[in-house]
Amino acid sequence: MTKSDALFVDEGIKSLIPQRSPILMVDTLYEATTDEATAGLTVKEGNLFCKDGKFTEPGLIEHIAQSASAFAGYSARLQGKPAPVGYIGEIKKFHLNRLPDEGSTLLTHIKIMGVVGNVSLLTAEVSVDGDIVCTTNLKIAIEEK
Amino acid sequence: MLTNYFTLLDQQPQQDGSILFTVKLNPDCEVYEGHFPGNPVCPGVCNLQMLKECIEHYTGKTLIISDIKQCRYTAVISPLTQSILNFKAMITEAENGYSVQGTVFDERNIYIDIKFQLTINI
Amino acid sequence: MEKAELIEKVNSILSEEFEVETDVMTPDANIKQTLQLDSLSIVDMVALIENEFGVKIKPAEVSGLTTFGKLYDYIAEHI
Repeated sequence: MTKSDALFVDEGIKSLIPQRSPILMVDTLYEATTDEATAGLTVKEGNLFCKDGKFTEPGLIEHIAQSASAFAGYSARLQGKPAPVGYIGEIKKFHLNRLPDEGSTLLTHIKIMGVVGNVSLLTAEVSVDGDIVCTTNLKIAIEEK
Repeated sequence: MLTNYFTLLDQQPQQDGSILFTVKLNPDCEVYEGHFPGNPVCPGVCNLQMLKECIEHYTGKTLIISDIKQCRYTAVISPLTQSILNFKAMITEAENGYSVQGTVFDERNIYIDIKFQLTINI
Repeated sequence: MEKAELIEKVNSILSEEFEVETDVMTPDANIKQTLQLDSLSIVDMVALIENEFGVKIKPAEVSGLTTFGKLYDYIAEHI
């Protein structure tokens, strides 16, 4: 996957999600279908969630949540709707293999497993250079207006 | 890593063997500049990190969250309206670390229910 | 798939996911109460059913599936 073929990168991502610096934790939406998407983040030096040269667990989970948020924003845009504001409702079956190094490029695959009302269940896998660093299920609750 | 997200005010062992932590959120933390602009809401993952740091403080160990069986966020927390929170945690020793079951609450609401595993970072 | 086999399979996957014994899952029992489902966890059930049986429960129809009996029938009709 290369950034040049991606759907949205860097500044463009901001049109899909409400989060901003210093907690902007996704920089690329590579591809998206109706129920699957691939997104990414290059962990820059000084990232809010870095400690001792590693990108930590809360950073990984926030990155997954924002990848899902960018996906939801993209889907909404295709339907001519504004990007929704979503919150993490639940983290389930999170498993960490290792913490990525600062400077790594994360590649994250998201699959929507079900939607009921304003809650979506998704499963996510984050990898760095082809190695899976963590997997989790996440529920995102969309803010009801 | 954020160092000014919260202050640990107190940790008290309870009769049932759990530990009751009391924390104070800092509404001036820079994370709220981006979450969300003009509408400060605690990022769920920052609260997760806060719980980890409470356990680290209690155990005196540096920990990594290796598994989360379940972490439910049952209500939104804003540092403007919920400045003091309680975290009641049952901490048991497990292989290479600790197994923790806990609840975050105040007098009005339950905000987080969590079961997770922490591994000692060597 | 025979209905009895379907019921057994549904009960078994729900039992595993929600940590509830299968003997309380009678056709007339209320799903939400029995499995202690709320607005967050109901989507777990929907995803499990879709994953296991390839049956997509439409969002508008979820609230009508109040009992285990209704859920078995729905899956049997859409499988």
